[in-house]
Amino acid sequence: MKSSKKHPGDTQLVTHTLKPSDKLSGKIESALSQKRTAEGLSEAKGLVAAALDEFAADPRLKPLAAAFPEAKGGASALLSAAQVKTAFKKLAEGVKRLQTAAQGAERVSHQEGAEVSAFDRKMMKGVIRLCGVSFSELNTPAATIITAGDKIVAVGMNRAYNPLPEYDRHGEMEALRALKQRTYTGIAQILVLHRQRGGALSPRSQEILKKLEAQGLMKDQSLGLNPAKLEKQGFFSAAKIEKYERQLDAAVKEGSCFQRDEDGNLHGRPQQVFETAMSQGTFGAKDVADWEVFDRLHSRDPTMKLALYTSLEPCGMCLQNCTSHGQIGRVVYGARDEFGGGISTLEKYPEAYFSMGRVPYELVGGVEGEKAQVLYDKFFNEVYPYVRVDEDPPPEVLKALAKEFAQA
Amino acid sequence: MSTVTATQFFDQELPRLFSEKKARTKRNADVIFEVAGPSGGRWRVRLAQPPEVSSLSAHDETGDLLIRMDASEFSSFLDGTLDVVQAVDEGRLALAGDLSLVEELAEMWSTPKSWLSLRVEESGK
Repeated sequence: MKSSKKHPGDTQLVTHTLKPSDKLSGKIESALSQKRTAEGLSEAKGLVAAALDEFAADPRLKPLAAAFPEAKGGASALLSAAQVKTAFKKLAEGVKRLQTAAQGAERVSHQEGAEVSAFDRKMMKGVIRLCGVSFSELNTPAATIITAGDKIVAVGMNRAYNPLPEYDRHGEMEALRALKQRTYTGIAQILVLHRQRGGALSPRSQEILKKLEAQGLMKDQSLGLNPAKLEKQGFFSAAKIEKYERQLDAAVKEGSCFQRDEDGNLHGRPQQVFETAMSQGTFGAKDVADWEVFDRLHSRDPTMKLALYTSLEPCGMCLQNCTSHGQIGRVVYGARDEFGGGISTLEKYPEAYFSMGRVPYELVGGVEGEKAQVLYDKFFNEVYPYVRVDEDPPPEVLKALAKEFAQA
Repeated sequence: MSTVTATQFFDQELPRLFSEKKARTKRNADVIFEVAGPSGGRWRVRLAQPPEVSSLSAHDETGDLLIRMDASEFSSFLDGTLDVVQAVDEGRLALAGDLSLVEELAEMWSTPKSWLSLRVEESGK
């Protein structure tokens, strides 16, 4: 049953009633009417900062100044960080429009005339071939290959119905999961190779590797790791090894980076799918990306752009995951899916969705949002600036915020 | 329209905001701004940790990206009302070099909404 009654801790969007009079009103109302998103709040901070600069002595501004501590620009400040950020952002948007116009041929859409390379066609034929395997397992035939340049990094096949009904095992999602497993497999295998060459590892890493090796870590040789080449590329350097040890430790604690079968063995599915694609002749060993590609991807190298090839138009979930991944710059698909495709159903989504007998859903914002907004504001203002440049935020800030999240 | 001049912006406001607002960047590059006309000049914004701004007197220093505009365009830029495509078409704005740096300038105080993991354990050691 729906209720419009506000519960403790909820926020209400754009329903603020604070209305100060005279010439401050415009500025404050404008600040309050910003959307309750990080961007809207950033705008609001800028407006409040401007009001503080102009009406610093007005006591009515005190509650707002307290609500937006970052907005205290000081009497001599002419611009707030939010204003400057907005200026650069608008400039960047304009530059993007210029670039889009210049690179229009790289976009793939329903419009006829999109440019398709011979490599695109080869990959599409490969994924369509792979669909046969998916179909033979009584799943909707759909498969995906992810590439970096002309090299293969991961393969996935749809298995959303069999052997288990799992909504998120579409081909694209399986390929993204496989990419993650291949990456951490590579990291672990490099540490093993480092140890085999007499390199030192922490006791914790040795303990992890012992378990992974017992689970079949080294059985997957599809990454083709070559110690001499890795040495030449600097992957056995102290800095790299330390980073890999730290990441592997975090990955195994997390537990979601490796898929295992009932006996705890690694690589059951992702390796099988990868080898199936190779056996079908879609690509050979020489076409598989070498470790440098995976390392750059894992390091979020902004120049490393992936392409995702999929036999069927991605659904909304898969399309969004491609976008969210951040390094997939191109999605190429074969058949349209007028009822489930993320692009085709944009306009008729509700009708198609309900005609398929799916449960209705709705988006509700602001529920328990009061506390969450404060916490996320703190996170984005105090922690994220460090994280985005791979610096460790002050531990005391992290611990305090983690505690606040835990107690929220 | 913004009344902040290019000189005020580069000599006073940007350095202050860099130091006060925890501006961060992963890049290491120089963006040269050339503003022609009243209160114009030439400045280098160094994307580094921490970022910094310096005034350039000569034309012999080059950067990874050059952004050239008139003083009138600079006001529109600060207001966020500059039509980049039209300004480039009409020659009032010129960009040369690594255009991805423009986005980085915008991201220095970024608060992306998609970052959801928190390295508490790693950072706490």
